[in-house]
Amino acid sequence: MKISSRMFAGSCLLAMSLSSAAAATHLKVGDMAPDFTLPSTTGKPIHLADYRGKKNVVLAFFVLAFTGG
Amino acid sequence: MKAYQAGLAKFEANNTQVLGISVDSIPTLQHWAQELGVAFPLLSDFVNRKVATEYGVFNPERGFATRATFVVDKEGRIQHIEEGQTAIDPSAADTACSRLEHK
Repeated sequence: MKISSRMFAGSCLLAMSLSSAAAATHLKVGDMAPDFTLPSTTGKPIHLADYRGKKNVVLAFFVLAFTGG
Repeated sequence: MKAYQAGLAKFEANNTQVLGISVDSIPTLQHWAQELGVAFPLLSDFVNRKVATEYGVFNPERGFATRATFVVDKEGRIQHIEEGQTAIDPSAADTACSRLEHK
């Protein structure tokens, strides 16, 4: 019983990772990056367009704080 | 985010701003940034998950964003996209930034 519930959990995890792989972005290389303003840990909001003409920007979306990656 | 912090000097050398984004609240992000020693800004898409949705990385079933990296050039155009586990490693994003800065 224990093993089968573990297997069930395993297949759930697999299904979750497969479904997250399916939820791929619609954006493509060459598209304009959607602009945004978000509150940040600097204490000030960050506006993507403020970097226009000045810096390249790496947007690293991560799942949740206190997780790896 | 740890790997990005480790590679931060490289990104800065290529005139690149690194921004981390999640659906966590600001207090959570501040706490975590302190714990990890992350020196670049972490952004909170907590209120309505709008940005993750606009970038197509929000997973409504799970309630948070999937791991993804977008490199945006100075004109505001997307130059590099990575999704899933490979996005944890910043080296491809770093190569893309280096290419942008030296073209």
